[in-house]
Amino acid sequence: MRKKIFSVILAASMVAGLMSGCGSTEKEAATPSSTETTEAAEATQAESTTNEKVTVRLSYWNSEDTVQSLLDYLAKEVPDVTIEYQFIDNSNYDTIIDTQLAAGEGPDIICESAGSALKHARLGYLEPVNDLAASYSSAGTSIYSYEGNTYALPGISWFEGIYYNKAIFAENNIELPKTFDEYIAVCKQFQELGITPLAAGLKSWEPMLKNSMAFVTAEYLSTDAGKSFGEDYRNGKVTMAGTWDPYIEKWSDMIGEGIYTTDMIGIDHDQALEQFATGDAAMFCSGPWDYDAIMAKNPELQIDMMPFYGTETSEGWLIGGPGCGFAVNQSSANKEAALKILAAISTVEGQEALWENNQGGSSYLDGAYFELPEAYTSVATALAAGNVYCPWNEWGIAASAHENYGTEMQNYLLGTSDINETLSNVDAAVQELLAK
Amino acid sequence: MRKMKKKNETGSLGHYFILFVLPALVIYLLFSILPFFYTFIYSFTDYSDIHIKGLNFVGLKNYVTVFNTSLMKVAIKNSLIYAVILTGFQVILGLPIAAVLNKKLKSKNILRAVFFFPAVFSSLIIGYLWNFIMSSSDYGLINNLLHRFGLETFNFFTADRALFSVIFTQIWQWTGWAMVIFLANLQGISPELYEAASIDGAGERQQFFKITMPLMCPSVKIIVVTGLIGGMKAFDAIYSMTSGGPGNATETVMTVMMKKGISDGFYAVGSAFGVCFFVIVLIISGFTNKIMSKWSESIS
Amino acid sequence: MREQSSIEVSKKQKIKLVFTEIFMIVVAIIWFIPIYYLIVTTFKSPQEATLSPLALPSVWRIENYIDAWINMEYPRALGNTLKITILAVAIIVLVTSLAGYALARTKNKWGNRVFLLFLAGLMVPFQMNIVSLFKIVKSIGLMNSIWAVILVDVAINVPQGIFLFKEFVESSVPKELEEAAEIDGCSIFRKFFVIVLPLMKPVIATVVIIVTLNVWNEFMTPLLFIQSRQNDVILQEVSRNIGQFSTDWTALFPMLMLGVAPLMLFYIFMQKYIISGVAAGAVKG
Repeated sequence: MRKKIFSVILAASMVAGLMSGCGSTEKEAATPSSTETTEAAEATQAESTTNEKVTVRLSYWNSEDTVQSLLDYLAKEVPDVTIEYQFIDNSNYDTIIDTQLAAGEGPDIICESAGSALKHARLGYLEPVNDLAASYSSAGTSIYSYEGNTYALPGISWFEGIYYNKAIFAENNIELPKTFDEYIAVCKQFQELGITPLAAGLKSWEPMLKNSMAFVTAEYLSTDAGKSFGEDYRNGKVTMAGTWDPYIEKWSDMIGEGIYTTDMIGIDHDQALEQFATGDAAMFCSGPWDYDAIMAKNPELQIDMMPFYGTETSEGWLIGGPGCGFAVNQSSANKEAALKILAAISTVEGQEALWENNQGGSSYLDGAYFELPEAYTSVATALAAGNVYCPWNEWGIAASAHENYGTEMQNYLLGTSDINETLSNVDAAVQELLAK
Repeated sequence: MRKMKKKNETGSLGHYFILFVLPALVIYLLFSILPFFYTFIYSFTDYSDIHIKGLNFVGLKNYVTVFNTSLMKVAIKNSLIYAVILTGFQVILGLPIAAVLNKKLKSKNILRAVFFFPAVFSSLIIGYLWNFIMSSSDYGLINNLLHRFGLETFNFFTADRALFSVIFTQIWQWTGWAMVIFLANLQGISPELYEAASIDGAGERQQFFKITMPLMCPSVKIIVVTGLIGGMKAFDAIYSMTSGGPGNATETVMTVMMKKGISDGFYAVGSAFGVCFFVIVLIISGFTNKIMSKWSESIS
Repeated sequence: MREQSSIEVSKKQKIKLVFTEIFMIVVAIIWFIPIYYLIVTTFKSPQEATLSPLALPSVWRIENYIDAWINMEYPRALGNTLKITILAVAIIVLVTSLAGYALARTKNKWGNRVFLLFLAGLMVPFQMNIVSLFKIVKSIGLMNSIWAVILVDVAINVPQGIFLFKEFVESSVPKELEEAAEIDGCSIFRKFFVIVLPLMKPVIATVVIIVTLNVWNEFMTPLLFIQSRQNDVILQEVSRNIGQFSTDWTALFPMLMLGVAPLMLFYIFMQKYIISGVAAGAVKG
């Protein structure tokens, strides 16, 4: 067998050597690529003749309709730049963008999460946007800063809380909870009434990630003791295992009381959303990006959102942070045009257009303020208190390990690992990323 | 030049050989072998998404990492299970279906068409479709029907079942493919053999085991070898149904390669994993080839 | 005596055959349910789909299709998919028939080595080399061109094509014919195109069918190399609409359906040839 492998590799290297020396080879290979270059040449010619209209590509992991108003606004505001929207599914987004950037390619404007922005900034893939960033509050721009420069402009903030069906709560005379234990009690009341308390698509690793982290945020990360956890974690000074155990233990009531069930592992996000929208479940954890979809399914539905709670009474907490950051590709051929687009986004009108499809979030731009829609009445105090936090945004280069956390929580739910093992596995993934 | 002369002496096409092979070879070298060659080299460096220039040689470090990462071991185990079960069922189900559809049934053509139908589609779309059929919610066809009969929800995507659920859909998709290949083989077996056997008083079952089975060796070999290799490489169906979850229950070589080796940016470790995978596939195909030729030898 | 018993036996066999047939039909119906489910659901509202998942739709709604058609920019996506598939398949047939023929007729060390090199490709999933593949495509300047997809798809399918052509030439193209042509003073290329190629018709059909399915259903290459929506293919359109935050599942089914419809039609009309084509590829293992 070994001989075979060797001969294969040998042959490969020899033929590779042949290739570079042999003239006739190139002719064969050149046929397709030469037609391509002429095509490209024609295209550029066409571009230059039609009034210098530049096309910039913008990629994002949410579908086009989640930023439709912004695109319409930009088409009007910056008429000499055409935006080509590229949707890449969330699960492929980093892969595709990373490979493209590594090859000196990629979209002109990139929507970045905190972790990937940091990584790309470190590799020099991104253009600093300090001037534009100056008009944003530092709460929004800090997570996109690297070595004194800011590399992305924060979009409308995102937050996730618990949507609830007002009618179901009212009909059954159920009060909104104010603490975690009350929340569990509310869920049990619904169970006794034969109503599914919480619709959850646990086939995805996201719901339990956010739900449990919200509890840990309320209980620990927001306290004086836990405030520096994110920073220490990023610097490898602390581990999750041994620190988070008691909180996750308490949070496990969600599983112990049958609110999260193993059956939910077979349900995906869309199906859970449908369950909630059609009134089959009283609550559903999500954020403004799902609002339109829920209402489209059931326009009569009356919903509001409540925050996550810890064991103590508080305003409650939401998981969230600056939305996707708009960054400019350093190797883009249309940097000017891309910056022009970013400048147009960095106006009150631009933020308004962006907000249009993300109603509920807030803008980090100075002077841009939006009314909170009715669907978020019960989280108003939490928002006003600034209780919006995204723990993994502080993990620096290891931020992508939040996905590991989510999948490890699935393992925990399914009983394949205990709390300490679960958290240790996350620590291991984080350390691996930090050591890269 | 000297090489060409040599060919002139031995091959019947002489130096034209190179001209005939060249177009395919160039494309293949450029887009398959060269990338593989790079991957092989990267596997000995510290290449990662945050370290892309000035690569250092790190010896076998990445290979050690591969063998110490439980996720990668799980992935190889799952891929093996996937490949073996899928291939096994393709043979176990495909052979009898082919044998029956080789009989003079009135509806045999339409039956063949129905069984082959799923193989036409992309595994991606088949995955999305089954995702709905197997959902635990009321929108899932199977659980919808179960609930109708007052039965409990059957969760297809628990840690223990998810992998088998995906394999199940793939068996559904690819058994027809195997059937068609078995049928072709069956039609090549001369009917006289059966006539002779029935004169000798052999029953139908005996005929199946004594005549059909041994003579089916070539097609079984094709299905086993391509099935195992294809199963090891499977990506689309897993991607669209479970993306490796829940937890790590359905992580396969390809999903881990995509996640670790590319998304997370561990390019060098991913490359080492890929090389290991290549070796494993090489061993498997060599091994099955050996077994299969032993089988055909023992028959003749 | 003997005759009577044989009649009895054949009668018994006939009854058995009828039962077998009925049994197989039942199995086939069960086998077909998922596809039937896909088809009927596309015409239903979400409510109806949950209430009576397997019944025929009470009203055949085609709005779902119209929406899917528009959302997927179907004609354009279909056009791109067709373009890529046709060009890739044509190139594959051309280059692998040449190479397969040459390898079948060259029985020396080099012939063997080159063949082995090609076979190795069957074992390497190309996904494993994505990072370097991407660099190569970029350095040739094919980024965001359908030619990148075409050429990589060709490279992926070259091993299988060569394997099939080589096997076929070895088993079914008589050397004597070629020798006769040689005596007539035919050039080697003319000989190939005029004499050998026509003899290869059956295996060409096989390769065309298998490779068409492969290329059409290839998801990863377009995803990697085609960045602009203008150039994207049907599968990309399906997946972009099934992105994580898409929600309307009854709207998705028509998309899945439109995703498979061209191949479905292709299959329904060409069913006989496809099945026999795939089979032909296997007879000579």
